[in-house]
Order: sequence, then structure tokens, then C-alpha cells
Amino acid sequence: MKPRSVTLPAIVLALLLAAGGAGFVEPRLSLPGVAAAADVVEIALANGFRLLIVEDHRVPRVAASIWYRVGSAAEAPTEHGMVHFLEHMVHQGTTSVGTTNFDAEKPLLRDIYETEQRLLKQVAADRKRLRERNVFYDELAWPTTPEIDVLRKRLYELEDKDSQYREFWAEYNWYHRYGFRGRHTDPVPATTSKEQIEIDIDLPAEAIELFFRLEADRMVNAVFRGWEAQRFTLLEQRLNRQGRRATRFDYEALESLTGPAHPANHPSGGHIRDFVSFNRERMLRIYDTYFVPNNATLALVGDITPAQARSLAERYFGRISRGDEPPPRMDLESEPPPGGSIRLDWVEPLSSRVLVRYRIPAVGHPDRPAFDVMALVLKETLKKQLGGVGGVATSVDVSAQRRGSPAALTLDVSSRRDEDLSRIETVMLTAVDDLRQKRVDAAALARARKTLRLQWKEIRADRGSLAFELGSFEVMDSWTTLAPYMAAHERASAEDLQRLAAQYLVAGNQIIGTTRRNPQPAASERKATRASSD
Amino acid sequence: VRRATSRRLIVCFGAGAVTAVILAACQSSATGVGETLPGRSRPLLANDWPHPRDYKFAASKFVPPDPRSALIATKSGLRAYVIPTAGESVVRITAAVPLGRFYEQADEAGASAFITHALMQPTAKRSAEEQTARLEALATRLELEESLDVATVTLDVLAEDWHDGVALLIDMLRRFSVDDAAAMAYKTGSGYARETARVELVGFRPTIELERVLGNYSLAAPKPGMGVSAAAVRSLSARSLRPNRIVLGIGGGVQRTAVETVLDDLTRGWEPATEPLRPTNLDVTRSSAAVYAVDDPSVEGWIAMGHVVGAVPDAERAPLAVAADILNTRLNIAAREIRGLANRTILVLPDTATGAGLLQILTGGRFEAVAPLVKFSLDEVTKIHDAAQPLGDGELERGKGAIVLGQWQTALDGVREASATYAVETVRYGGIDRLMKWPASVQQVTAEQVKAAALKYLDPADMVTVVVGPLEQIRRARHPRWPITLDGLNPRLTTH
Repeated sequence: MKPRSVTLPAIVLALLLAAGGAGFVEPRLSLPGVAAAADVVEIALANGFRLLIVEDHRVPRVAASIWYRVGSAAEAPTEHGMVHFLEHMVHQGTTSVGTTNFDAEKPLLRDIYETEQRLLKQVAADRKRLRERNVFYDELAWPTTPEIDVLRKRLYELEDKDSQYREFWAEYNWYHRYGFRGRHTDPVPATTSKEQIEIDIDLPAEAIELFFRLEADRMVNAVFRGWEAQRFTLLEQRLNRQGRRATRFDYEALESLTGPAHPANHPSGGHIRDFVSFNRERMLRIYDTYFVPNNATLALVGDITPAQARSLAERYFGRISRGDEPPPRMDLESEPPPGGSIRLDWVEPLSSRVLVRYRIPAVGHPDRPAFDVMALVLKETLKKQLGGVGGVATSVDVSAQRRGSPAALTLDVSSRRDEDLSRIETVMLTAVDDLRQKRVDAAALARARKTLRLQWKEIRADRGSLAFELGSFEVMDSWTTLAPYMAAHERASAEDLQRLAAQYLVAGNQIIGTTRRNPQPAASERKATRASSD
Repeated sequence: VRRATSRRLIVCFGAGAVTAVILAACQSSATGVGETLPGRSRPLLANDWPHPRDYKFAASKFVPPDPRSALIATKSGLRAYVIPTAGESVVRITAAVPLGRFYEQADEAGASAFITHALMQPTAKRSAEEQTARLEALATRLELEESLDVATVTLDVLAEDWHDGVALLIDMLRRFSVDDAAAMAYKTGSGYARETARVELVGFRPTIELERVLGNYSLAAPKPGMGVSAAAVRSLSARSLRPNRIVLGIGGGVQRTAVETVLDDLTRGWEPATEPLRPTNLDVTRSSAAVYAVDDPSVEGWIAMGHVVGAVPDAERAPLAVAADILNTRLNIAAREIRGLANRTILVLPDTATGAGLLQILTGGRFEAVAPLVKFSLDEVTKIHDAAQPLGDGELERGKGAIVLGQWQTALDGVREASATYAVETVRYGGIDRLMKWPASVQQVTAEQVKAAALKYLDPADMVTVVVGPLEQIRRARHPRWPITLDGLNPRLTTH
């Protein structure tokens, strides 16, 4: 794409904005039940950057959560995991932060880029030599050639050289210096999912300008330093997410069976083999396409006024040019159901467990809220039948996933013994059948509604949670549907649950996964010696 | 270049009037107008934004809820921090109890874990069913947090249910009784989670193994398969689960006077403890650096390294906290950012009243990363311990800000968090004075004090390392860039 530059009309528009705020839209909409100053104020800058502000002056801090509408659903084959990788790479500093001498870095950055270009050409030239044509292989033993090795080594050397100019963890350290609080346990205060990258920080109100400064810079001036090291940090996250490799495969297999062709079911952490294919060229394209103000929403909850937020947004984000509208890669409708029940019997030893899953509509669909109620009703039913003192289940969970479209309702029961799995599966399917057969326990339904009411009130009472949900709903549908969505839980009736069960919890939309401690030996061993990951 | 310059002139001319937007374009910047980086399709944004170091933010106006006016005490001796907020529709109720290995006597090993387990899941079927029914009616669940010297049980309820929530929590603690058969049947577990998926503070196997290889560490997790006597459970619960030992935190949509009345009713006739708590007097023997390896094929490569520290004098606690924050940052940069060896490294200071306990670094990674992780982590400990190596630019202020503006404010952010924090603090330290003085203590810390704390408490010669993972594979693996081997670290195999 040809580089875009500032044009005269844009300058005139900037003057107009600075003079009088023309071009801003500020609907003040009510979010019922939010404590203190309850309204959500929406502000849209002329470049498409959107702010959602909830004033809450009880504590002099502000929760800020910025959302980019790009996730694993936007990835193409061979690049699964790239958007999560991007989330890490935009935390490696900018042209002015995280560097001691950006001018000195520039030739090195060019050298790194050109070396990678040579590497990509070499990979293309060696493509027939690299191809394994195998069924069972070690996903960590990445195929290579001597020529490729030389170029990789050169990349490592160049990045080491660039390190002399780096201030590692610069943004993160500045946030900490001024009172960072994050929702995440990992060092990077961000998450990537099917449809979004979100970055959230909670700071003292006096220092909230730092967020605008660093995040606007990140949106347009990010520099992808330490790319090769982060590739392995990402790999580490991916390998250890489920602890044991077989567990990860099992989960991914279930995901892929949920919708084989739909990008919503790509593992958001990526496929291990794809990690060798990741490259800066493609990642920069994703960054330039999606990290644009018209694809971002900033939710602010706390001790800040809309006027203050608007002024800071103007100063920082308002300077960034609007981008082309991102392609609708993530806006695919669900593929047709397969028309038959799918069963996955895992053959590597794992814990004794049964998962029953159904595809359900996504947030934004009128049927979706009632599935949250249904999940709790089913969970209580299964706990009573399988859990507790003397029960065969060691854990019972039923969840209605909210991210991604289509979403999924998953019943998940673990046991101590493989021998109990058959009975457990029968109980699970009977519980589902009971829902269809109009047997909904009124008391359980009331308790489910109350649980969701408590959850919603907890979200509203917590700055960070409210900012997160506002941003999340804005990405998935619209923030204006958040409160109605939560209110719809109260209206979900037994008839609604029965109707939805009859419509969605059917054999043709059903996936059953089973893992065992002592499975039958696999028809073919999928063992491969684990070698170096480089 | 010519086009960019003329554009800048036009902008400057137009901006003669007012706007900061336009002035910005006139100012010098590290980035030229219209400049791009290789591979980028968007130009960089030239701007006049100050560097973060140049911002001068006003002092934080944060004031935590007043703990003194919140404190009430019932006739039975139970204390509670009650912090009401008008209009709040949720209430958090926390019970902090002096319970943990710190209070177990020699013949009581495992008793605290038994008590917390039985509190959460009563061993008698009827009690269990009643507890489940009451929780279901409240549409909530109990959250348990255990440490060496405080156990907390928390539940969030709707404001209209606060009375039932408080009653449930008090009943749980007050009605605790030892089921002899259950005590007889109980055996201590492994102490760790079977399926470790990341570096965790709870159930992390290397921590448990480290506690065990440290020989005389009296706060180590009890050996698996041990029994617990009903007498030991009774003795410990008689010291801990008593109204004069328990402190509640209640924050949210409640009325203080109503809570006072209810608490008086619920605790009437509850006998206070008469026996002293009898905390452990930790016997600290200096350890010598060594590497132990535990074979476990079910995980990747997890690591704990640390040593036992005795009581830390009050004057050294803030400097040690800042030193730990600085080292924690350096460890993550060394392992994660520079080398991609680990996703996360955590340095943990003992969180006990005296500061005594296990100081440890927790990390881990894939097979070929294990040995380099041990080496580079120890290198960072060596650097901060070395008196000749000063702190880096901004490290001191970063550490202080993270502790005061971040951690301290977070612990007291809002009535729900603050009420719980006050309860825990009071159980652990006997009051909230230390907590309220903590920001001032931290702000006064100097670079010299940080280095002195590092010299005393962060000595690589004391660091004992435990690696847990599939040893054969870890041994074979070689990192292509840092080919350090596990055998090169001279590990001792353990059979735990």
C-alpha cells in the first residue's frame, strides 16, 4: 500500500476540531444501575476513534481499556497465532519510548528487515526441501536448510546489536512508576482473543495522561524490537497454557471440530508449526491495517470527566490519521452445521473427562443472553447428579462462551475413573434432554438469574470490569447492548430455555469429546522425538 | 523530503492562530514528517509529546477509607471493619483467621490444611448439604486464600443478602467441629497441583520441593500421606477459630449499626480463645547454593530458587520490598524480553508478620530453556547483590511507585478491597499502623538502603535451586543460542 500522508483537507479539519470540537458526537446514554454518575458518554473523534466514558469519582483512579477489533479470526492459514504475537510486539517500544537513540537504531532496523526479506526469499526457494510430506511429526523440530540457518543467525546477531539501544519494558516500567494496576497476571497487560486485542491499565487519575501518551504512540509508532526473542516467549506461553501438550491438542481438536472451516475456531494462541512461518512483513501489514483509530475503542471508567477525556484524546489520538476500513475477515456467518453428531475420543493419556459442546449464537443475537441462564441451570443439575459427597465427578462446569461468533455452550465433567465416563456422558445428555422435554426446575432458574444479577452488579461496582465489558461488547456488537443483554437474563423463562434447547442442543449441532487416563492404544503412534525448537 | 517540508510550512502558516494540533507539527521530533519504517505502509506520526520522564504529575489524592472509624468489636471479642457505601448493591464479606503452618506445633503438621479443607467442604454430609443450600440461596461461592499465617474466606453477595452472608460465614467458623472419622481418614496430599500450566504462587511443585530440600525449614509443606490427629485439629482450631482471633471485613451496601447488632447476635456466647496462638520461631540456617532436580515427565521445566530468611527488622522491610521489585523486573527482562526463555518470572518475599519464611524466584520454560534460565536468573541475583553495581536510572523511583501507587492503592481501592485488607492486616500484624505508614516508609528508601538489603537478603551463594521436569529430555536439550546444560549445573537428583 502506498504511504498515506497528511492532506490539506485534513489540516483544515484539524483546525476546526481544535477550535470548536466540531465533528464530535456525544450521546449520553444511561447504563441502568451503575453507581454514582451512571451515564456512559460516547465520543467519536473525526478520525473514527471512539471513547466510552463512565464517571465514577469515588476513588481518584481511572480504569482505561483500549480495544482493537482484530483477533485470531483475522488470521490466514500458516499465520495462526500472529495476532497474539502482534500483541506482544506492540509492547516493545516506539520511536521515542524504549530507545536510547532511535536514529542509531534506524540502520539496524533496516538491516533486520532486509535480512528477513532475504530469509523469506530463501524459504520460498527452498520450499520443496522444507516440505515434510508427513502425517506424524515433531511440531517443534522446524525444518530448515543451511542457507536459512545462516540468515536466522544473522537476524539474531542484528537484534542483539539493536539491544544496546533498547530500554527494555519501557512502557510497562513507566506505567508502574506512576501506579499501574492490571487485570492480567502476565507481564504484558493485554489479551488477544478471537475478535480483539485489548490493553488495560488502571492508573491514579493524576497520571492518566500517561495512558493517552503511550497508547497513541503504540497505535502508530510501534517499533518491533526483539522480534526473535518474543517468538520464543510466545511459544512458551502456547506450550504451557494447558501444561501438558496432549491437553492442548485435545482442546484444539475440540475447537476445530466446533467449526472446521470457520476462523472463530482457530486457537487464538496459534498453531505451533506456524510459529516458524511468522514474519515481520506480514505482521506489519496486520498492524497497519488494524491499529488505526477507526478500528479502536477506548473505555474509561473512574475519576475523569468526558471533557477531560475528550481533551486528552484530541491531543494524542486525534492526531493519528484515519485508516482504511479494515476488511470484514472476522464477520463471517457460521458455516452450516454438519448434520450429525461429532465424537472425539482422545487416545493419549489424560485425565478422565467428558465434554459436550453445542454451537450457540453470538452476542448481538436475541437468543444469546438466555444461554448464560441455561448454562447455570445445567451446571446445577449436573452438580447435583454427579458432584458433591459421594459423587463420581471431581469437577463440573458448564459455560456459555461470550467471545467469538459462533459461540459455544460447553458441558465439562471430570472424574477420577475412566469407568465412570460412560455414565457421566449419559447423565449429561439426559440433562440436556430434560431441558428439551420441558423439565426446568423453577428454583434452579431463579437461582441462575440471581447469580447473573450478582455478577452484573459486581461488574458495575468495579472500574476495570466495567471498562472491560463496555469495550468487549463494543467489539462484539455495540456497547449499548451490554445493559440490555444483562437485563435479558432476568426475563429468560423456562419456556425460553426449552425453546432454545430444542432448537440448538440437538444431535446435528453436538460435539462430544472424551479423554481417558488409560485410553485404548492408538492405531498409530503419534510420537516424535522432541528436538530443538529453533 | 521537499514535499514534507512544504507541507510543514503550510501547516505552520495555518496554525498561526491557536491550535496545539498545528504547533506540534512545527516542533522538532525524533521522527520526520512522512517518515516510514521498513515494511510499514503508514507513515510514522511526528509529534511533540513529552517523553514519559518529562511529565510532572500532581501527587495522588488517594485516601483509603478510614479504618479507625470502621472498626467495631462485639462483646465476644470479634472485630470487624465495616465500611458502608450508600447505593452500593454488592457487599464483600471477608473472614481473616490466624491459621496456617506458621501456627502449627510439632505434633500439628497438616492440621491447618485439614481445617481449611473441612471449612470449605464440611465432612459431615448434612453440614455439607446445608452449606451448599445456603450458598445457592445467596447465588455465590466461597473463596479461600491460604498463606503461612492467615487464611481468608470471602464471599460477595447482593446487598439485600448481607445478613445471610455474614451469618453463613460466622456459622462456618463457629460451628466447626472435628469429625473423628474424617480426621482418621485424612492424609496430607502432595502439596502441589498435578498439572502445572504456568508459574503459580499456589500449588507450584518446585516451591514445595524447594521447601523440602531445605532440610530444616520448619514451615515446609508436610510430607504426603501423613495423618492428622483429631486432637491436633481441635487444639489448633481452639486457638484460631475463636471470636477474639478472627477479624471480619465487610464493605459495600450495608449499614454499620445494623451490622453491629447482627454481629453481636451471631457471636453471643461464642467462647474466646484462652490459649496463645504460639507462632513458629523459625530457626534459620544459612543454605549453600546447590541445584536439585526432580524427575516429572508430566510437565515442561519448572524452577524455584531461594532460601529461608529469618525475621526482617522493620527498618529493612521497605528497602527489601523495593530491592525485590527491582530484581523482579530485571529477572523478567533477562529471561523473557532479551532471551525469550520464559513467559514469566516471579520473585516472592515471605508475607508473614516478621517477614520470615521462604524468599524465592519462580520461573520455568521448555526443556532447552531450563538450564539457561537458572544461569541467567542467578546472574541477575549476583548483579543486584554486587555492591559495586549501582541501581540503574529510574529503577528506584519505578520500584517505589509500583509499591505505593500501584500495590498499596490497589489493596485499599474501594470499600470491598479495603475492608478485606484491613482484616488481613489486623490478623497478621495486630493492627493497621504498619499498613498506613507503608507509603511513607517506602518513599524514604534510598538507593544505598536498597543495595544494603540486596547484600543481606539476595545473596546468590544462599540460593538453592530446584528443577522439576522430564530430566532426560531436559538433559538432552540444547538451546541454540545459550547451550548451557543441566548437567553443567551439577544437579543433585532427589526422589521426592
